[in-house]
Amino acid sequence: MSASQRGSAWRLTPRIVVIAVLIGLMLFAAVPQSKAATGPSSVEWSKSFSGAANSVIQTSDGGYAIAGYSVTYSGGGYSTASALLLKTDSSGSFQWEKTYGSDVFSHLNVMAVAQTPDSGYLLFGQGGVMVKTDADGNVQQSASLGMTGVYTCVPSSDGNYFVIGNQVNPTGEQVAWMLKVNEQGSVLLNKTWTGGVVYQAVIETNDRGYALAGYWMNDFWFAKVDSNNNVQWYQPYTYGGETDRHFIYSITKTVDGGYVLAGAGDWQASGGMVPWLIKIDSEGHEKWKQIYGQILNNGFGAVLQTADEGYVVALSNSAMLIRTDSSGSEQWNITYADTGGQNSLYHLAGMIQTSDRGYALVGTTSGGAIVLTKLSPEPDVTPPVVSVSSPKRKTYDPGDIPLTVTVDEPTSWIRYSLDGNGNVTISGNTTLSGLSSGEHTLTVYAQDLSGNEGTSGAIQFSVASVFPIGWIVAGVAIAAGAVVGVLVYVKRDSLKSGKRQGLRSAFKKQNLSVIGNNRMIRTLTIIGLCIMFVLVQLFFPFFYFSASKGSNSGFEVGVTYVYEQDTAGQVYGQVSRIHDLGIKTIRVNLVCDYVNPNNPLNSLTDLFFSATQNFGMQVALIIQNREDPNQIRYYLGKWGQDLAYVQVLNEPESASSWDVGALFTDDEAISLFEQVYGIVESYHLSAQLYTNFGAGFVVRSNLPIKFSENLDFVGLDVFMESFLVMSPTFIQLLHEITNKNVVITEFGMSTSDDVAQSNYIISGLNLFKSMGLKGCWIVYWNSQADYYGIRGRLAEQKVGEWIAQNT
Amino acid sequence: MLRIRKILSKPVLVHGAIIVIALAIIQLILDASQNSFLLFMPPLGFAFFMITQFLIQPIIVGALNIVLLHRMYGCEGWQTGFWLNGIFLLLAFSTLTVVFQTIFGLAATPYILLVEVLLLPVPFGYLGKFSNRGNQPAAPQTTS
Repeated sequence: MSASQRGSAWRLTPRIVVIAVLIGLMLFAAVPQSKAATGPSSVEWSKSFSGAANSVIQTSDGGYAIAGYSVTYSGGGYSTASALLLKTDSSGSFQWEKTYGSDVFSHLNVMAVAQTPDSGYLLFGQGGVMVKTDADGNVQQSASLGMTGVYTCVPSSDGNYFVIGNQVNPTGEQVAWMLKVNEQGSVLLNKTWTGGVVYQAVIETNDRGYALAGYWMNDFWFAKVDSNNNVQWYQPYTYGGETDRHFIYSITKTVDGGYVLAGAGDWQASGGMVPWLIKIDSEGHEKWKQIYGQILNNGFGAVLQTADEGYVVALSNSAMLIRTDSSGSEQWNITYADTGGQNSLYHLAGMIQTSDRGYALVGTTSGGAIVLTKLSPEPDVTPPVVSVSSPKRKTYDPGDIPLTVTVDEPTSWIRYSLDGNGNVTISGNTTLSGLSSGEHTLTVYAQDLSGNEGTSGAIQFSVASVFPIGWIVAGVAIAAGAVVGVLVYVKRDSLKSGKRQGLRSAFKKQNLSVIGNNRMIRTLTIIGLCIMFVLVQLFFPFFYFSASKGSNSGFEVGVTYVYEQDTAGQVYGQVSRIHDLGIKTIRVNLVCDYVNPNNPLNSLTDLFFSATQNFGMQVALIIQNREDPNQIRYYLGKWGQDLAYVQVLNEPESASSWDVGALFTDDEAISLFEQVYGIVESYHLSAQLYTNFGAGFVVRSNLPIKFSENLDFVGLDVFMESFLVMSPTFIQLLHEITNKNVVITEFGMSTSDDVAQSNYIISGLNLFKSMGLKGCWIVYWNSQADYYGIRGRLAEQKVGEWIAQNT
Repeated sequence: MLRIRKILSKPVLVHGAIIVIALAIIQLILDASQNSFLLFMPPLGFAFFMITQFLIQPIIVGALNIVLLHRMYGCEGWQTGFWLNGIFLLLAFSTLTVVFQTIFGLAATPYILLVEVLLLPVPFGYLGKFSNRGNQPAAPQTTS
């Protein structure tokens, strides 16, 4: 090859590489993506016990409790059956077992077990008897459920239990039943279904309702019921010919708000019953299905979703667990127990996720042995997701900037690097101090407990230049000094003569009455008194109300909760925590997605309202100035009846207009108000309407006057300490011009100083209560972007104490 | 009793009563028309209201005070300008209104004004006199 040929080849090579990469990317993009599974689990231990299992749970001490029955063989071929509860430690070693006779259970078979808060157990017998035992399995009390044919039970998040079963009435009618019961056996809810439906699985849903699954005729069958026990939808899933049978044995919720159904069904291509896996969305529409045709005469007896949105499914008639990706395709499988070479006679009783994120499976062999197997957690190879909500890509004023980091899993460390400098280790959210003006680049790193490292990527932000106040003060001081120097120089002769006469002479020539009658002195005195009057008008109400303890029993404290910044798992607990503080009202943003009803945001809002209803709390909805009308309609249609207050626009007097940099004109603000008000009114809600205003209403008072004609009350937002001092005057003025009650709808302080924030909030609560206001709503419960949030800070504790003492 | 009668007989009571009643009437009129002002061609109405309340009203009250001083005490001219004299009396009056409203929790202005008309004539008589005594007329001089 000549030199010129070599040169040509080198010029072509980069183009070929680029084209190849582009083609590769296009192919990659064209292939449907599914999240890959991680490495396989392994068997940690497997233990055998005598008896037959129906159910397994992990207990609070890390051990396991297995429910079922045992058979004792005696001479002459006689056998005696007993209901069984068996307890192991965390490594599967036998601790104790209790057997119960017909004096306790009518059918000697315990179908399900649950642990109670006192470390005792609830046992659900097949014949419909529910037994409460102590931590050692001794019977304490029992109750009849009034139904027979118990199938299984799952605990609910409110401390109760969903129990399902199927019984045949004396008339021969098949009844599928669900009871929600408390620990004493009292029935809180029930849902029966006739016409051939058979329940085989139940789970609690994100909205505190529940889902039932099983089969109807020969079809898969699934129903969704809300927290008020109303059936939202139900759906049979029909496949194959009329005689092809299909059964759901297990269901699980998925993080996208949908469900996965696991079971078995006839598959003609395989010539018999094979395992099925079906993914449906939150409305029941099928997303995909996987039929494991190569596994004949078997089904999926249990399913769980994994952290990477894949699934683990356990076969019902073999000691085999299959791991799939998020689309249900098999990634790997493991035979987890030696069942004596008779896998086809093994029967799975249950699979649970253990506290270490591994799995425990229990089943019964044909030889009459219970096999309990523990699988290790899957090796974690997924890096943590690091999100930085502050700082953002924007320009900050000089001063401290909060560094707010969220990592989606526990970490061994979090570090950040600013402007390429060395990593700084932090224990949580912190503050970036001493930043120079100009551009900055921040990168946050985190390592999870498995050693995987994640990064936030580079975040660019800038700090504005510092206003040169020091230079200005110095300049003024120098100028003042120079002026004084010049004056002294110019008046040097007068000063000398004054020094000679002495200061006393200046007073001897006049007396006080002369001073009092002096026109200039009188004018200055009156001006001084005028200033004093103005100051008294501004500050007297604040000091008076702050010092007084007026009785105001109707005063209620509220808080703005940005629940969309929390996970679904947190929301219920946070509402409970807010409720426990004594707060009556929760103010929230309009969080939903009308375009995609399956968006998890909608489930999150369902969950939020379910929690507020459970705790009897009032909800105030914020409709922002630029909210999409379709979004408002969707929200009000779905959750409007659960609202106590609706906020129509947010501080419209100071909100920016459609034209960048300008405020809403009066016409814009009024037209926007009328549009939103019209939408809200069309839903005939029982909620009270209000609009909140900032201090700017003073110069645009026509807006509150105009809006208040259609409002039940008006809101005032109070933020700075200086505004708090003057707020009584503003409250009185707002009340005067609108003739409506005033509620403090936003009250808070963004500061990293916990004591200052707490003092500010408590002084405000004292003030507003003494003024006889109806309420004060604190901003915020939680806030990622600034320091307004009170959650977990001193203010949370102090507000709780204040409410306990004052309301 | 004699002292009270002596005080009541003084022109200061009449002076104060006229000032307080004038301030109360103006306040009632302004309260009644406040929203009409604020809704008139915003923000012009707001500006007109501010001008009325803090420019025109003080001038009227200041002029009234000076006329009363001239009539009752035989003064001439004025030491404090009309506006400053009026705003001083207005601020004193409105400050007391705020204090009464705050302490007694009376939101309705008419009741507050009624209380003030009954309580404040004497203090405002002295305040009116203090704020602008004018000049005593020059004593007649003999030429012979």
